Amino acid sequence: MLVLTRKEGEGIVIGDEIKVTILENKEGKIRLGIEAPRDQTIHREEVYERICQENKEALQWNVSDYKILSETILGRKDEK
Amino acid sequence: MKTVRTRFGDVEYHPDKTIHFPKGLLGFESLREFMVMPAESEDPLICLQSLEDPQVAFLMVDPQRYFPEYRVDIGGQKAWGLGLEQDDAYCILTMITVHPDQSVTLNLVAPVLYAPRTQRALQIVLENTEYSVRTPLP
Repeated sequence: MLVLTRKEGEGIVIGDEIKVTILENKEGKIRLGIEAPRDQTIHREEVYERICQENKEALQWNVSDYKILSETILGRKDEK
Repeated sequence: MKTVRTRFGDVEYHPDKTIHFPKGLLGFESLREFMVMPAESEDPLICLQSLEDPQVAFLMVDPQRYFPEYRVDIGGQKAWGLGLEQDDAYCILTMITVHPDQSVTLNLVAPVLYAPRTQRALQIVLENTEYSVRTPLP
């Protein structure tokens, strides 16, 4: 891992197109400003990891689950 | 017609009816091409099947079926990859997780947006949402 020390108002540049600026460092919290091309996705790390994990768990179904879902759970609203 | 291997067996699909994820899905960034099953049905339960990895298939449903007030803000740059033009329709789908105890939750934090005209889809992550990655069905 590359480690750099920056102060408030300073930044780093990643490649030609991504710029990260330290906006504020207060009470243990650091606010970052990120400029990046709009096709780049940016996520908080723990949120990204959580979604990746849930996507992987969402693969864990089988044909009988599909049938049960199709017949019972999704039919439930129609019954009301 | 082409054929894809799925957990339902081999399924035929029309190559013009595939869905392209320009960014893949979170954790599956390398998988870009998908098809949906059943292809021409009113069934609200949809299976999103990868054309590149037979193991990768997601069960999906329109979240507004259960949460009519559920909204997704596609402002800013979030939906840029869909190639939406003014007045283009798009739909919102959420992934279903079936847990080992057979309980079912919806991932309302990271919905999938699909634009029928461009046949592109994205999984986006909502900021500051009141919903959970594992929202139980009401």
